[in-house]
Amino acid sequence: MAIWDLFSKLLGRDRSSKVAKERLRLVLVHDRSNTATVDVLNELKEDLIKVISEYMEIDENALEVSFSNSDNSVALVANIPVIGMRRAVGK
Amino acid sequence: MVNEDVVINGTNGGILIRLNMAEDFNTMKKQLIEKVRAIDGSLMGSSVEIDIGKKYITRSETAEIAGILAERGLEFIGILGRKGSGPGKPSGQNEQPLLKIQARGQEYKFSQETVTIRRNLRSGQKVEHKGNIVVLGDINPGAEVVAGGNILVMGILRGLAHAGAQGDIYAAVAALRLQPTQLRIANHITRAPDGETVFGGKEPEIAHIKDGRVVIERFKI
Amino acid sequence: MNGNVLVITSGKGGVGKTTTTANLGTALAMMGKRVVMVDTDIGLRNLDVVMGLENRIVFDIVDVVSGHCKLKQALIKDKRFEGLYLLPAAQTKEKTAVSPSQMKRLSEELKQEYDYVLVDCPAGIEQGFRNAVAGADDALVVATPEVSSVRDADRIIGLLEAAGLTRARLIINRIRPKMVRRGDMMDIEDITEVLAINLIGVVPEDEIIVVSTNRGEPAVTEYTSRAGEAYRRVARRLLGEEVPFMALEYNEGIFYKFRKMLGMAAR
Repeated sequence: MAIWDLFSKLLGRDRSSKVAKERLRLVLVHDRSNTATVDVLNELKEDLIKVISEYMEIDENALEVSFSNSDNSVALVANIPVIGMRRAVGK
Repeated sequence: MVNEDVVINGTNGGILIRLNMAEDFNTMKKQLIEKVRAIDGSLMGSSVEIDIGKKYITRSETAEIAGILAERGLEFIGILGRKGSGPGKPSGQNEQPLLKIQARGQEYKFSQETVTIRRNLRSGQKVEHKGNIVVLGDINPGAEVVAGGNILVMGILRGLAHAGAQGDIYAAVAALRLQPTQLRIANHITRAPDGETVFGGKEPEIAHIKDGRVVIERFKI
Repeated sequence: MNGNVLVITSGKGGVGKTTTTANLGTALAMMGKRVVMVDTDIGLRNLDVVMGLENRIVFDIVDVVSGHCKLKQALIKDKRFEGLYLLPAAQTKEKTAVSPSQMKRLSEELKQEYDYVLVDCPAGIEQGFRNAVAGADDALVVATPEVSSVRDADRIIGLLEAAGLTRARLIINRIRPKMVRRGDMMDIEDITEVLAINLIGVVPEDEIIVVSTNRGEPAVTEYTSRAGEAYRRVARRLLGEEVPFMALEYNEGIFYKFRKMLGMAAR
């Protein structure tokens, strides 16, 4: 193993099984977010509205929550238009 | 407009195809092939009647249509005509219209006609016909040919052939190379004995029933 | 008697569903179980060829569900093992010729007579898959150590769960120990970690599979075959036995040992 690791480092690339595992992880996050997570996203949206509304006035209809894929990560992206701040945030 | 020369309808128990025989036969045939290919696979095995309206159809045209239908697993059972149709001027060349056109509701039995398949039959393809079937090509493993009459394969028969499917024990299967997965004649079923992958040799052979068994003999032409 | 209906599925094609079905069916029959293998890949049947039974087919699954023939007439008895049967798929019909409810009824009927009903599922997630899964009590998911195959397996596991088959077990097929060792193939942990289901077998790549498919004799009957041995172990696990997983060492003989001593084994 050691020889191969050294070899890989010299060549500056990962062994292909590592690459495979990483790509698989990303693609599965994406696949699963496409199918099963639609409900989860909707629930999350409702919860977000509930929490944020305590602090500020937001445009609930324009609120968007989605997953975004970039090269090597998956991010949760929320776009929440703020209409105004609530005056008394007294806790 | 062009597509109106061939109209396919379902009837109770079968399919009715209306052909505009006024159109050039070859043009119409192309449309027919296209439309027949598009017929849902679940309808395979259905019987088909052809309505030619007040026009005429020749025997060779009829045979061609039967062949087209057989390739899609459809069984051609008859020609329908309307009042006013009958023997007379042929629609195409100088060929005489040999088929007697009968009034709607009466079937024209096509049982002893022969269809010719000019291609190889591949796995999953099935040709069924009440009469004889001639295949100018090979029948690959997984393909099936079922004939009411005889089967002649001008090529290698590696798939399944069933001659005399309606019980005709005098039907035969002949091929340039007879190496079927399974061979059936009337109610008899045979296959290669265990351990032998191929039965049949390297020369034309014919299989038929003799003394209650399927026997394979050299086919002397 | 009430048998177990097991669907063997994968999503992706060409990963070894049919080979797995044939070998597990044969292995279970060798252990004295009554087994029927059902090929549900209508239009692309293969199990008959792998089992070497293709020339005995008279009726098929479509004939059975459409009432063309009796179930008993369509079942083909294996030529080697007592108690092993095949219900072949139709080759000249379409997938829609069988419906999930018909499959369910057929499975119910078969499990009255057999200890194991192994359902060989077609590739894909369309009607063929829904048919195969309809009557199943349990599922085996076959995957090879490739990104595409594991991804499809994940999708299939999700669909199986949705169909109420929550105890699916994984067979990793065609693993190549040499490649795993040098880091060019995902290993078992990599795959089970992502898929998060129980593993029931690891089958090494084995040339004997090709040879046995050529001959129409499942590899489990070949005692020297490593894949055959792996399938025999899967069969024993299906029967509830605790069987250790095969060490994925490559028997490279004396040269290997020699190189290992010199610290060159990784090559």
